[in-house]
Amino acid sequence: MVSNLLNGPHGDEKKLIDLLKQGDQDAYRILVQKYQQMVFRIAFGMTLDREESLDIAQEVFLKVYQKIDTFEQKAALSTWLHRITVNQSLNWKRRWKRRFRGQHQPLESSGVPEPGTENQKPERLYQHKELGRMLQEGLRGLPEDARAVFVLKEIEGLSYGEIADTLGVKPGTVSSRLFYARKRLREQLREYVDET
Amino acid sequence: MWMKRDHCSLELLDRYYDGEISPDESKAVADHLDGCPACRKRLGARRVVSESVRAAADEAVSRTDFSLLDQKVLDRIDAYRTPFLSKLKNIRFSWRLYVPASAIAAVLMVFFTLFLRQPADLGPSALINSLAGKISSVMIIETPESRHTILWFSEESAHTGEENAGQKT
Repeated sequence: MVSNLLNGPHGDEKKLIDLLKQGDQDAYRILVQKYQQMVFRIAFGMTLDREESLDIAQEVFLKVYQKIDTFEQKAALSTWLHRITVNQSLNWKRRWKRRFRGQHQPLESSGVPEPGTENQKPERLYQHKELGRMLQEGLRGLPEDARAVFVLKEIEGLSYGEIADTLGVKPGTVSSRLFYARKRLREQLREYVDET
Repeated sequence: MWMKRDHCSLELLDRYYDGEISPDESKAVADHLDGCPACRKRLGARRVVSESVRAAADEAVSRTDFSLLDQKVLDRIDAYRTPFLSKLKNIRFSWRLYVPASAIAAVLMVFFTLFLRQPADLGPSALINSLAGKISSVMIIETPESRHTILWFSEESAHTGEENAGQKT
């Protein structure tokens, strides 16, 4: 019965939350399986580090267990998870900044093309890798609030209203932070993204 | 926000790309893009940034093994909800544990007995001397531990002078 909740319609979310509040183990397993990639993607957008993002995902689900009784279901479960993930990622970033100020170089590369494609040509490959590297550098340089908005928009594809609910800000603020983040990234990537 | 020198502003293009403008505005922008290569190019650049970010996240997901995550989370939940006393019960006492524990307890007892005893009551400060006249009086006091000398002077003395009342300590 519990496993049916994984792909069930919206009404099943309430049932899942009830089971989570009762501490049902299967319900937690389903919660993790259903939302692990979503949580991981947001954490990765915030930290740009796969291992740390997996740790953050664990923290997020543990937080759900600790706080599920306070969840009033005014917003969707996914919105609540978005909020917890952003907060945990920001906490991680702050801890990380304090511990290893300027010493850490994550080894993630992004979007390396498949062998045998047009993009595999050395020049294109170099450009692609450079674009990924510059993009990461640009993301890393964004202020926390602009970065959270940018990640929720670009990686999760949330609407301005959903982002506003998640972060507890006004939609206008979301719009301006997003514009700022994109402007900064455009400047960072000017060499690779031709706009003129 | 709408047009800047016959081109869409970046903000408008962002909102158009995000689907955050009204259907009428959206149609107007789409019509404009049909005839404006410059705005199409800017929109294309905007798309490249979005797609690169998404590609980076997708690639990170594809390289990550999520198979054990649910079990790890359940283990952490178990560890969190296990009461502290039950955790203590799980520790099995043996002679190997008793001997060092007793030694540590003995060392701690000796330490507390020798070094952390209550300090002796030092009592009040010692009065060295006092001089009392009709107009004023003076007392010389020395603190017992730090050997500080205190001079106490008063102009309201109604008592008879009492010279050399105390002994120097």
